[in-house]
Amino acid sequence: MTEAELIAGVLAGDPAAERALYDAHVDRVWGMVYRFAGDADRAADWTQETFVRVFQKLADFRGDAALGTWIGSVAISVALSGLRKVQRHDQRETVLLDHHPARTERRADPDLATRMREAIADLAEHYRMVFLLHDVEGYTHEEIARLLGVETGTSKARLSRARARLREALAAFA
Amino acid sequence: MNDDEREAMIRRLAHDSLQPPPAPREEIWRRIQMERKTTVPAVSTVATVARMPIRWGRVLIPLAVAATLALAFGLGRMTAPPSPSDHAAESPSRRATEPPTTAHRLVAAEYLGRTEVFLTDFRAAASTGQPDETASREARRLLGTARLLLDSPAAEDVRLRALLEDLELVLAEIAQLQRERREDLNLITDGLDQRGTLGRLRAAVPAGGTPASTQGVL
Repeated sequence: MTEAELIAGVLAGDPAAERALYDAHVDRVWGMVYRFAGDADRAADWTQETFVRVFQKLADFRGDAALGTWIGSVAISVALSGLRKVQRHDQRETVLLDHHPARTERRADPDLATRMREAIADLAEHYRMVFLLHDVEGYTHEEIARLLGVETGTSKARLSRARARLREALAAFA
Repeated sequence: MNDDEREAMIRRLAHDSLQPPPAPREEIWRRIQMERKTTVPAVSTVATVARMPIRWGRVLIPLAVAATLALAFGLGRMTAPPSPSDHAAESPSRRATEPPTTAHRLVAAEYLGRTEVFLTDFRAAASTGQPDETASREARRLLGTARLLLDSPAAEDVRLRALLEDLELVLAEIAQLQRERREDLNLITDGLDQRGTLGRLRAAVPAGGTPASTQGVL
């Protein structure tokens, strides 16, 4: 099924098309919002809200970008809105540390990975958002500027500042 | 290690250290379906109610009563001799908006009272066995009224709005309850307990059944 057929199916109310769209994009949405949320419960809430909005607003999708990109922007909008409502950095750190020690130990030095998570969590929210969007999710500065409603230069400056903070935090490991 | 190498290391570390667990696909899908069932048909529910004169009547009667009371209240205010303290204490705009607010509060109080009775009965039935099919029908009727109230000026009260939103959720769950799904019933009663819905409802319903003396959220 092509993307256009999928969209047409969803707009026609076909449950199979709705499920196919969900299956095709849920992992990316989940990964994205989980990194912003920092805990699985909140990530589940935001993933749910993202797809509810996607189904509600799909008729507004004009096809200017890939469907995945559009869904990603909905997810980021949901995450940004959620982050404004809840600012619980301490819990975020704790949950991140508790959830996946085995996975991180397998991939990187455990102390370094832990320090990295702590350093990212310690970033001010506007720095952390730009860092995650650019360096982890792969968005361009132009896309980030549109998503966050800031100038491109502001996005670049925030990324530079975020990286500098992270370099400082990880200096002992260099 | 130069700056470029350090930044590449940071990106790689960020990727590795922020790996999410597998998405709970089925759970999230189930929740999406439930939320869409409870939110999307909001308009169609009203349309369905409109095709059923008896249900419409049951929704409109309290509104009509409240509107009559509001009119009477307003006429009383207009015909009563003005006292100096009235002018000193209240602005003209407040006098103009007071009757509708009172009317909506009366309707909300009457609605909360009926919902409290229903949920108390439902809670008792759930603990002893399976609620019968009339529970779902009554929940659908109360759900329609909750949505009307949420769209009315009564919902401008933040605490009342929060309570109505909770009631909308639990009533939608009960409305969709299937007899064979015991686990769904447990989820509903657990939700009622966790959100303290009945306690908040009882605190919001005026004592002695006198809507004019509303207290709590009203």
